[in-house]
Amino acid sequence: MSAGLSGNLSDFGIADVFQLIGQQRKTGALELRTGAARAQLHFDRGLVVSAAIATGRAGELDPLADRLIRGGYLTRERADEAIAAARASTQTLARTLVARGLLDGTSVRSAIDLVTRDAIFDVLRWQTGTFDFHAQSIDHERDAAELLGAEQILMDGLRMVDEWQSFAKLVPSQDTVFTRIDSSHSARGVDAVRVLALIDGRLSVRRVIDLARLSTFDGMRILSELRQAGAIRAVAAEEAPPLRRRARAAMPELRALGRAAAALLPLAALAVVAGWAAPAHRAPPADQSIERTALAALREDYAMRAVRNAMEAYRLAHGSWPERLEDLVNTGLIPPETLATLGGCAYYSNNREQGPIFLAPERS
Amino acid sequence: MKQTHGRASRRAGRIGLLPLLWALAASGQTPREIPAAPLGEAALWPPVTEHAAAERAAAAAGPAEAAGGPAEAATEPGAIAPDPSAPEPAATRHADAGPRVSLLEQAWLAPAVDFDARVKRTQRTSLELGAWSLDAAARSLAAGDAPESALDRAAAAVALAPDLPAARMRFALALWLEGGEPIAAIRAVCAALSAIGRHLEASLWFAGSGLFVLATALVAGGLLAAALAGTAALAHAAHDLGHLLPRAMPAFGCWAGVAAALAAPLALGEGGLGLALALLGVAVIYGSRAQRLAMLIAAAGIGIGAYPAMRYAGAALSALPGDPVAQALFGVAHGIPTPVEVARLAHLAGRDPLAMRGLAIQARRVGDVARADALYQQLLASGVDDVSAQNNAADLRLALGNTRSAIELYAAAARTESPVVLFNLAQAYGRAFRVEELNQTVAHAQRADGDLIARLTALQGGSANGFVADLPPPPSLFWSRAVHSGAGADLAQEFRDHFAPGRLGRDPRAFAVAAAALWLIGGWFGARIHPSRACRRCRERICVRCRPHGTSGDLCHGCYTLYFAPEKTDRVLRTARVTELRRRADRAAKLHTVLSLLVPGAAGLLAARPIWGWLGAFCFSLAGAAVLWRDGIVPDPLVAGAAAPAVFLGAAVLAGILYAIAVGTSLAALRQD
Repeated sequence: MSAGLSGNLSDFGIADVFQLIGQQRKTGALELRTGAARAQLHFDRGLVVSAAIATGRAGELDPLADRLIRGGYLTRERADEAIAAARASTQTLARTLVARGLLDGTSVRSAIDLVTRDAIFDVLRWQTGTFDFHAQSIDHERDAAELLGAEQILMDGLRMVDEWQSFAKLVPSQDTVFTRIDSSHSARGVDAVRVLALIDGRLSVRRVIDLARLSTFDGMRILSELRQAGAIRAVAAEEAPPLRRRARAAMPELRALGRAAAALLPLAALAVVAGWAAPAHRAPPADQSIERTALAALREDYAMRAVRNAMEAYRLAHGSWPERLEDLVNTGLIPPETLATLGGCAYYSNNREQGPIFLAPERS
Repeated sequence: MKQTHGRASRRAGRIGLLPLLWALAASGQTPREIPAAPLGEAALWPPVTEHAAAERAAAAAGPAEAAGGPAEAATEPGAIAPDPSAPEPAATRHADAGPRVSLLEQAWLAPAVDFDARVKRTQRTSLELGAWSLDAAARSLAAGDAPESALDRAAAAVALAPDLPAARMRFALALWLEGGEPIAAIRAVCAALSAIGRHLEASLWFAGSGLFVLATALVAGGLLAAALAGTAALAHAAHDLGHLLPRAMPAFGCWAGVAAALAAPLALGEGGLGLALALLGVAVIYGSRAQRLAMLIAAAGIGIGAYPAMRYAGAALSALPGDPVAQALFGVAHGIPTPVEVARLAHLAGRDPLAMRGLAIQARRVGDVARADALYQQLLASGVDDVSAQNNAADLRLALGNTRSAIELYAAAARTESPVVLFNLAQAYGRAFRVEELNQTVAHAQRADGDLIARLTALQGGSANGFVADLPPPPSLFWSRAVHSGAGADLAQEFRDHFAPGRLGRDPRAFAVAAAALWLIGGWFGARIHPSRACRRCRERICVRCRPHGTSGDLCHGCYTLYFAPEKTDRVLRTARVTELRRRADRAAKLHTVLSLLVPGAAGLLAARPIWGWLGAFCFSLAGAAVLWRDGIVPDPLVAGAAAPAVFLGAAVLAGILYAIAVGTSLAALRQD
């Protein structure tokens, strides 16, 4: 990959860039940036292969996948699967969709065309930003006859931008909802018929255009023509009947909640079994002594053995048994902690006539 | 070897002459009749003050010593002069001469010309009476305020109690600090460590503490390895469980199902061990062959640590404190028994051969030879035929003048080639004027242990009454009693209750069956269900149920295509993907390094070397347990001293080195992959 051309759109307009690529019959990728949005256009010998815009919003879908979902070609789940498979196999999403049998090649190509046309139409309206063209080979399977030259697209695009100004009054925004005024009105052209059929006083302009599988410009143009012909009118917000969208949107969460409750059932059953099977914890009666642990008992036994051995050594060192256990500590025979190991309890020791008596304290 | 043999040969000539002279001198002596004391009388043990003991010893030594006159010169040049203050051998002691005070105490407390003479006298008496390690005297030297230097006192303590590790460690310290001899100090430390096995109480204490540490490490290492391996496979288990559930089941529902399955043992009260076994089952299902082997090792480690190792730890630790008879016999055999211990032996002598043996030793210690002989004969008649009993009985027979019987008993005891028995037998042959057998036996003894025979000969010196050495009770007596008594089972159960409060912790067969069943069923299940796994490159899940024809060994279909069939991929996307995978691999390498260093056992697991993972977890647990209990599980009964931290910290260092090797090897393998 080698750097070809880069610059600022305010200095070197997008029309000039397109013209240059078309005249020079360049092959490569043109990347345009404005704000967070990023557009990528691929050219093959001056012909536009594909174009797409990434808005840079979090959780944004692949433009083709987004278009296919909005157009009703794919469900969101299928699209996610296809995207994951494409990422894993390093294949384009288009190829993956066809390879996995999710869509036929024609549908994918028409969707790509729509994405491309919308992207170019949007890009042509960008006034500021940067561009960066890299000459590189572009891998595609499209016939060169199907592709439009950059100059042709530029000319069409500039015309569309001019026309777009006139739509603004008739179709104020893509969120506008239209309803039919005259149900007997017959539209001209297949696309116009499809659009008219979709207008039901509930769907927004954007939704109608997507479902009619048209480019944004074409959809807007048809809608403005229908309005101008008096076939449709905009619906006030309060007129639009509720779509129960919220309820519908809440359904998956409710279903998930139900499934979660079902999944937690085994845990609840286990808790019941555990509560039933586990022995009840009972506090020892007041008169019942608390038993020492085996290890604690052994520790005390060994501390006592240390004391016993120290007493023996004391006897050989001094010729008599110690008067008190503390004497063993004072003579350095045992460390103070040995007596402490015995729980800090006072041990009974006494020198009797027959010899020493050494007893552990009474335990309770 | 040649040098030793030469020295031994030279000594042999001298040894051959000495008993002959002794035999000629002693031939006319007849031991006095000693009235047998009633059984248990020895328990009434009057206190002996230093002054009284000194008076009695002085009276026994004769008027010259009593008047403070000089000791007699040695009778033979080169031989150690017999200390005139030394008590008479047991055979010639009059039983009614005074209260029944231990001859060992008399030998130690009686005044002597100098410190060395006192030590040698005590050493001779203690060997004669079978106290080969007079621990009490060694301890008293360590704590006493004698005018001798610390090094001299430590050396004397080692001479008196050569098997006491604490005394040898103190000697090593004195050599280092006072003597300025670090090499000799290191040798002394080695000698202290090798003495552990010879000292009964020390060996029991070290074995108990060591087995406790080992058991803890085996259990902790096994649990940790199983938990890590099982946890690592949980994501795949949850995914595969999802295939058994309705397709619409969300991921957390699958996780909840797996959690429920894992929590089942906990709910049934099997505690951490049950949970670990469940995770072990998951690890076996989803593991490689090496991981299954590692899980088998982990399960075996848990089983060995929780059951036999901890059981024997408890048995070793309870051997003396848990057995009053053994405790009393040990007190008699190794030092100065308390009156309670003697009374206990007397009370149980009729029922317990160990108590009878203890009573016989005690009778011998207080000079009641006839009673000691009667008790030993009774012991032999009851079927006891160990070398110690036979030798000590023969010593008594020799002291009583019954040389023929003594020779027969020595000959029976000499079957084990014990150099001490052979030395004693040679003395008996000398007494019987059987010169040819005398010379043959001495040569035999020299071959068995020339240094020991030289030491015994030196102690014998020019004594007119000869010198035979008793043997202490064999340690196997204590060990077998401890093991067969069931002592320590409560300690083992208490240990298991911490992590296995249910049936698995109470019944070793239940644990073995559960672990084996999980391992076998897990292995069988793993081979049947085609468990999902992670791609080695991108960590994406490979599942034959999700993509029946899209798997290629350890790589997912995408990575396989990317690396082995790049022509099928988009060039730009391929480059981007490879770059992304490389970045991910770098991030993963950093994360794995951190995990390997922070989580014991994780290194081997992450490097696909699960056996190293188990080894790492085990070594880490061993090092941790050894450091935690560096002074032993229970207080030191003044036998281990500085040997305890030396042994346990040494073990910790070794385990730490092994752990570092395991982690280092795993990290190297991880980088190589």
